[in-house]
Amino acid sequence: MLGYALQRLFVLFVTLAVASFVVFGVIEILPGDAAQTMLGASATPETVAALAHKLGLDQPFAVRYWHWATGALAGDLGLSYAYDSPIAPLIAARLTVSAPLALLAMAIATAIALVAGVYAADRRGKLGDAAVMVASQVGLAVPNFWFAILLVLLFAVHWRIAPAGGFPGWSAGFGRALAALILPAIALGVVQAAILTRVARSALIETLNEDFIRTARAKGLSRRAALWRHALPNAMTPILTVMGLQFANLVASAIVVENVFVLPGLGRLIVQSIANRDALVVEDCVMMLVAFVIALNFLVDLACAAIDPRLRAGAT
Amino acid sequence: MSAWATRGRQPGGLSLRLGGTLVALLVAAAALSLVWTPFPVNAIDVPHKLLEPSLTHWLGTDPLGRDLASEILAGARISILVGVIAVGIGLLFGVSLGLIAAAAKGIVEEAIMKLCDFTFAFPALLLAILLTATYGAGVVNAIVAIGVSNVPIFARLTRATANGALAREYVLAARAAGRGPLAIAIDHVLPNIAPALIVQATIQFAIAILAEAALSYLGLGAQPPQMSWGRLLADAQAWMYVAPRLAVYPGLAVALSVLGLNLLGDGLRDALDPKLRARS
Amino acid sequence: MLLSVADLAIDLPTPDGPRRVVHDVSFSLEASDSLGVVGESGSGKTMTALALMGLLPDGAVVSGALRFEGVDLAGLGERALQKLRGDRIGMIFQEPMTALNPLHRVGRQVGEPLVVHRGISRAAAWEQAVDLLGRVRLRDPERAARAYPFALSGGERQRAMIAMALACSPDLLIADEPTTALDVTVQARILDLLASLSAQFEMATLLVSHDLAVVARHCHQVLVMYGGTVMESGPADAVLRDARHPYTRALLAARPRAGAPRGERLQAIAGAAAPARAEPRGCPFAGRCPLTMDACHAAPLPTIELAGERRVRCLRVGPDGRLA
Repeated sequence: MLGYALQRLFVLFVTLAVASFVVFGVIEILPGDAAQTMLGASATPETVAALAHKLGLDQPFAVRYWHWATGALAGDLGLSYAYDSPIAPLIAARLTVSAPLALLAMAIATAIALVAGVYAADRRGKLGDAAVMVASQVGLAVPNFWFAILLVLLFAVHWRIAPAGGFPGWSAGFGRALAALILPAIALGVVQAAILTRVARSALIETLNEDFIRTARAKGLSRRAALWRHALPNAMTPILTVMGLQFANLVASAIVVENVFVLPGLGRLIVQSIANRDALVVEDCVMMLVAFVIALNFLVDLACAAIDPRLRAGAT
Repeated sequence: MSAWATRGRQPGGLSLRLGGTLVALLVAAAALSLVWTPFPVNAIDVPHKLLEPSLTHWLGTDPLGRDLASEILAGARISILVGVIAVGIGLLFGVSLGLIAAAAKGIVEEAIMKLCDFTFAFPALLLAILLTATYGAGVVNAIVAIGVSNVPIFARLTRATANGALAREYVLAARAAGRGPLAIAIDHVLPNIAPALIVQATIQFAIAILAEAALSYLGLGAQPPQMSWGRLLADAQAWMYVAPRLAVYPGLAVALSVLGLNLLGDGLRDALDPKLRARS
Repeated sequence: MLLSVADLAIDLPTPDGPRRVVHDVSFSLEASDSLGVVGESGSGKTMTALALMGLLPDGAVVSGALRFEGVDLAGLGERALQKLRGDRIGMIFQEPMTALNPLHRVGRQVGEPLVVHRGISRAAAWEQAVDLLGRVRLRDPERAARAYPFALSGGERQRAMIAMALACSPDLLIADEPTTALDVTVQARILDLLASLSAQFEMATLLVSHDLAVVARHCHQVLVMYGGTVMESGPADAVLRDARHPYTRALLAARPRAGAPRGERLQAIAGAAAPARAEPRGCPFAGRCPLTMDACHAAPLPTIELAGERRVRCLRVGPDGRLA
């Protein structure tokens, strides 16, 4: 297990390094002058040059990347041009909204996917299965943010039992803060559950056809006990893997959904910063989200190894 | 795979027909909007603002008196444009990369595939946000970003299918006849992987529509006066208490288009290649 | 009588409607006795075994009588069947590589029937599992119990499977091609182990195999199946010494030379193995049989009772029991 974990840890760092290069590269290496973009077309060449110098944009790419990457590792994410303040505390404050939202959405998606997936796989080919598949087909088609808008229409506008958006802050009390995150988390989680349900269902159906399920039944286990005790753990590895990959989509969708609910998270910071032409903040935020995704996939790898002894042993 | 397809066994099952109909409606709406809309798109008519749906204004009007039905019809255009170009970019570069990987083997294949695996952390939306931060908002950046995010998906699919096809006898025969690996890939492998590519292209088309709507909603995609369903939804949000329907119909248009494309993809999968069904 | 099967027929659902894969199968088995069911793949032998366990694929329809200690298994509900499975009737399968759950330790899987049927704790079941693994003569049973299946060889896994089937000391052990997937050297040892354990545990054995020699060596009774139904049955030594059915004779003639690769054994019989037909009429072996007459294709198969508890189903067998 330790060998496997160290190997995955190595992959984690390499992936993070490549990702940081991509994030930095897309913004800094491609044609286009960041300082010019920030100041707008009407800025004089002198002010552009002055800003470029202030931001270190006149230095070579490698130097800037090195500066940025080492700074980020030390917790210094640079200065925000629009807010004229260090970016790190800015992002830290937004993370207290975005991180719980993403985790809550993931929990909702997982719970729905496992229950619906097990239900459908248990009744494969029957009416209940077809109903789950139709529902998931609809879920795949509904845009996250539109579902969020519909939830607002229903709960805030029509029934008036939930706020239409905003976040009172964790200082307003755990319950109130959590309440503000529930609708956004549902909007994200339910749509995410559609794809995970399909994965869970097909992984389970595949596992239910395995020989060892017949063995379990031959021991006297009921169909349901065989499903929960023998099929589900074996189906968990593919489910967790897809869950990890889908987390990137969830994080990206959260940017949009945060804007629907006017939540002061990373997503809103990103959109505001794009409007402010504050490229470095966008860069840092995106890097933060990407790092979040990569770290979660590292945890998924560890979880799969905890489930499957073959992975721990390095066998296939 | 859909429950419909497994129940009705005939090719051209319910998925294919329903999906095909919805996609045909999407294309028809876009085509129609080029020559005719009930009212001119973007025509402000303040005296007739916020009208409820009627025979004149099928879906009512917005706060500036613009006809919602006309706007939705016109919005189909950008959805199709983004889908076609983004999927085209993905196909062009993805299939090329995949074929190169399958034909080259060794380190080149390894490198291309590792690169494709890595991109999981950059979904279309995130890539688009990164691009717009540098180049500013706009539909071109959105298309490029969505297209780039499609590349690894098609590359992976092409390589996997091509590796199978490359092992067959007729390929060995062609190789014995002295044809180069790339020529073989184009002559013999491409026809074999076409069904899988068509199915995947349909699904990526749907994802492109979703991404464009989200970007335009954030104000990072289509810019006024370009009509887009995402933009309509963003505008509607301020009027949710007054005219909730403004926030319903554009979203419904997105959902039905995506549903149609997904169903079409499932139906095509079943119709084109029964073997593919097992894999989904 | 421990087990008696009369006029068993099995229909499996297919896209083109139900297909009859087993029909007119009758046999019986005394306590502690052993019966070998022989046939090529597709002869219906595995489906017959699964029918006894109530583990046929979804949608399968069973008709006829399946009596275990006088109780008709077909009339039992799922819960009652669960109580029999793994407790009174144990089963081992062909593929030891895939028949064990890859995620659970072997000891836990071997002890699981005891947890299910005896309600004992996992820890107590583990102790007994180690003991069972010793009885199937696995070296270092403690280590084998702690191992995950992937760490064991095919032979070791099949021994673990046997230990699992024996956990609750069943009255009947069904072994479906238990050695087909194993190396030749391991096969003999596993079969010998099965024979000695059957005696030790005083259980009846139903051994399903495509290999007549294996069956003849390890079972008292033999049932030769072809095309979903029984061709010939009787005491193993008598059938082997003096086969009456042309199919049995062909099987015997096609017995493998030493060292012949697996899978080539029955190739000496001309023609392709008959698929079970939707509406069985005539003899399934007709056409492939060197003695085929016109009547073989259409007439119902007679069952001819011979002296010494033997039965043969062939139109060419005369009243004297001889092939004509």
